[in-house]
Amino acid sequence: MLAHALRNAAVSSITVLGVNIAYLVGSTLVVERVFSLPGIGTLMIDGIFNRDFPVVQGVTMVFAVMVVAVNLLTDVTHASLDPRVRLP
Amino acid sequence: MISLTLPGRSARTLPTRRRTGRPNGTLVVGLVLLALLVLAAICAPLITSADPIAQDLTKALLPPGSPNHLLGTDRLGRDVLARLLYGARVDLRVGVLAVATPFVLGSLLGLLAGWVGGWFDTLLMRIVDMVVAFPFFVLVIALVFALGAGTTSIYVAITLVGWVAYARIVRGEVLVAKNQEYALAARVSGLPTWRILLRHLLPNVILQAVVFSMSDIVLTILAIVTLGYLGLGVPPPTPDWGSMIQDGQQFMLTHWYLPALPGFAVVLTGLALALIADGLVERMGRR
Repeated sequence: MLAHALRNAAVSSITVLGVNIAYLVGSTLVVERVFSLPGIGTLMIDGIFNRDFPVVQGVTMVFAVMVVAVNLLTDVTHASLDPRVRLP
Repeated sequence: MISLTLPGRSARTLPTRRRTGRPNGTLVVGLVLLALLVLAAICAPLITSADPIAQDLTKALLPPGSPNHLLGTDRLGRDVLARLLYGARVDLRVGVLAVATPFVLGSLLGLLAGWVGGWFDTLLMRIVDMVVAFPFFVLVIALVFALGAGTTSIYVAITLVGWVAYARIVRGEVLVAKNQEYALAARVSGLPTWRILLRHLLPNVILQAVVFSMSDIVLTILAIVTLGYLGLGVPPPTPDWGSMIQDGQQFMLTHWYLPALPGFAVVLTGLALALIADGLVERMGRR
């Protein structure tokens, strides 16, 4: 069951996982603000209130890199689970 | 006798029922809920006579059920019910408009990209990939910050981020539809391209985008409320659910209804729109 069923069943949930993680990473902005946690979300909000453009640009870039990395990981995992998918 | 009439009756009633289409419960409940919300927003001055921005510090933080203040007042003595209703006006209007613009823009670009193909398609899809690489909230917040807080920046930011989803959906549908018989027939009979695109292809490919737009409105209203909460939304005296939640947050333990009521309004709006989206999907699947 683990080797055959899970392998095929995991494909769609991994795809959803990739999308969800991207969404969660974006939501850290709000979560960190509500519970005043010191993270890059708080860093970005502070940058916004201090009108500190470079900080906001940098944090946005870091978030983008995280999302791209997660998407890449999702695609690679997808390809390794499903032999029909070929990575270019 | 009974065994003879029963199958006969069911055989007679079932097809007619299927043809007229059962009233789609999910869709109806969603539409009724949304209609009630819109009606409450439109009739705000009839429901409450209180001014949503008039402050009265002597009547601050009244509990719900106080005379003249059905849902109490906030820390500046402003009527919560009035702020909820007038806030619905702002949030619903911004939500619908901030979805309509990317919907039209994205659908048209996706339609063109799918039909024309070639370098235009490649270029557009690379731009889409670039926008998708950023998390939705982060990019919207960064854009609103760069443009300066206010309703116009919200429209612009959400349009710039939101159109990609519609472009992708419609392009995918066009790629399939443009090789079907009706599209080829329209082409062979020498119709002008804009006519083929707008009259023949668009009605067939748009349904998926319409369904997505319903769930997109939920996300957009959530984004507007989040922006208001972070202090980047509609400027202060104007009532807005997000800023109400932010205002009430510090009274969470003593006056829980201050942040909870606008939160409930957001949930109710989201529920109504999600039900409509589900109902539309159900309806399309049945056809």
